[in-house]
Amino acid sequence: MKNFIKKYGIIFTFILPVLLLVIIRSLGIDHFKPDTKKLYGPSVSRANLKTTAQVKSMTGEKLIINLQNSGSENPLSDYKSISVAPDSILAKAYLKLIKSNDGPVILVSADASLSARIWIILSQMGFGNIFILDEGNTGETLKYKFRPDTMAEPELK
Amino acid sequence: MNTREKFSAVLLSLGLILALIPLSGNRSFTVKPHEMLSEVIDENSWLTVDQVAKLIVAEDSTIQIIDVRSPEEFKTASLPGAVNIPYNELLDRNPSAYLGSGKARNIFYSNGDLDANYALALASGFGFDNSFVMKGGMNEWFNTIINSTFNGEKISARENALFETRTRAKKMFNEINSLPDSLKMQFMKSNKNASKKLDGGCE
Repeated sequence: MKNFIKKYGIIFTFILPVLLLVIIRSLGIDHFKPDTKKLYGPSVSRANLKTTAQVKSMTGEKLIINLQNSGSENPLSDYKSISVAPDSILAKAYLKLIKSNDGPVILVSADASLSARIWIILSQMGFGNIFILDEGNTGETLKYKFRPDTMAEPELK
Repeated sequence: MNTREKFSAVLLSLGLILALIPLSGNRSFTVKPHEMLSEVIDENSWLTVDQVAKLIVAEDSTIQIIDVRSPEEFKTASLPGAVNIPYNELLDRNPSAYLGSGKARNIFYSNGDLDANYALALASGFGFDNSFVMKGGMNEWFNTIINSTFNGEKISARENALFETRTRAKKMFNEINSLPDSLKMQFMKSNKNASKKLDGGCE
């Protein structure tokens, strides 16, 4: 044994601790993953938005996270649901629950802006199965048309 | 174990470490998740359209308004003084270049409540905690500021001040967005130069 340690001493002293730290860091769930651009992709393509009908047709065990605010209603109460205050969404117990869920995790909130912010955090932590419940009323389509006033003459400074 | 074997073992271990370290060319967030969460759920990071209108009317030089909609939508109508960084191009550029432009506050807006809030969360992840969102986006701007009317008989001093700000913001918005594109750019540039001079900056 002594001879073995002597032989491989250099590896035990320097390389193994670094290797161990790297492995712990890679497997950990409470930190951000690299490649922000790749992870924010679904928000650009809107693939992270699902209607109630789309959620129902998704495969796998669904976990509904109801972000407690503004008395939001949960139209998906038939599925496994938890109510989470936005400030405790990163509690280890919830992160483990999200990671262990074998299927989509749906964020439900009366305020789409809150879901959007939480989605960015969770997706950047590497959770690829997070979606936002959106019935198409989050308003990213402009409802109004601007009519130019051709008589307008702003004063140039 | 001879030197050659030792050297091979070290190289092999280093190779394993490099394989496990994600060496992506793209940047990642610089703040910790818990710090970021407390920033993004801070109620003060949501500004009402009236608060934004007041800053626009006052020509506040400490703010940078960032329109994350498409260039086409930006050209059609945008808030006075806004810069356009489409959401899908947000990470194509170095965030420090536009978020750390020396302005004290960055205000994001889109048409609704999604893209601007995604953008705020991304900015917060990169350590720019001076970011805000105009709640409701352009739809709320049109609804509250552009379609603002007063039909009552009596008006309080407070209501009057609010209505006056809305009217002035509406006038600025209409005037700038009614200009041809070339003049619009010239007008915005001229405004920027003027505010720099007032701030005591050098050209």
